[in-house]
Amino acid sequence: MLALVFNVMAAIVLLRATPIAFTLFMFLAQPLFAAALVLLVAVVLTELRGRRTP
Amino acid sequence: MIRRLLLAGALLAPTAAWAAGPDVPLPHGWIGTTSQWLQGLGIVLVVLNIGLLVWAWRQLRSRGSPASMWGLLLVAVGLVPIMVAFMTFAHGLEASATVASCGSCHVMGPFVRDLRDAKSDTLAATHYKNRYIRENQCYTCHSDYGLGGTLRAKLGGLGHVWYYTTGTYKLPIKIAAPYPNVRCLGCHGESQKFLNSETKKPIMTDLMSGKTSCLECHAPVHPEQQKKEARL
Repeated sequence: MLALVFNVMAAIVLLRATPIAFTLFMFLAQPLFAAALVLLVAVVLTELRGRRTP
Repeated sequence: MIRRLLLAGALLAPTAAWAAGPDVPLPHGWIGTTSQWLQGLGIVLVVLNIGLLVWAWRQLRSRGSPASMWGLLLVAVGLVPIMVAFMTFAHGLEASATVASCGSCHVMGPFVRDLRDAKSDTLAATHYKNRYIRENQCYTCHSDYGLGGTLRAKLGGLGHVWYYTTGTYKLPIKIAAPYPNVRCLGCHGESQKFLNSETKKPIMTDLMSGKTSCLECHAPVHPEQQKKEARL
């Protein structure tokens, strides 16, 4: 969902790059994407640890 | 694979062509600017990424465990969004320097209208209508040369967005600091017409040092603002 919001905001900037849309993309959409990536990496690591410890 | 590449090309070409303005005839073989291609590629990647995310979401719901689809998730949530972020950031940075971007805030309306008025004799309009500056006319004159100038201009732009959005700006709009000659001299300073001008020779040292402002003689730069007009 976070990555989806990021993509929607990126689409807005790509279609109509107003200063406000670009500022929101920089300070809201990019952190959302970073959060999505961190969450995914955390889930992957948790899953891998779960496999190692029976 | 080749069919996919052809499909991507077929999607990209109209997007890049759509991004180009129809006003001026383009050279034969024109395929768009780097910025337009970044924009087109960015749009294609956004569509691809949304498709991948929806697909991954459906797979997750049907399988229950994400363990078998780490690859797909890393592409959809990691790899493609990084490319989207790069394309969007590059396009946004480029687009934020355009006159249209500056004019998108209504307080800038009187300035941009005068800039585009072919009958206006202000310094800004003269530079615009004769294309002394080919593009991004507001940004070119209101940012210093070099990386430091770009960074300061972008940070200043962030401040402008903040003041505009929160309504904490004051009318009439005034330039934050006295306009430095170095911005004029970046283009005019090495021009033979400027260097050999009889009117400028006696004050050349003062012009170069900034002791005498270019705008002392070359005013008005923009039209006089009325408080009411700037709010329209």
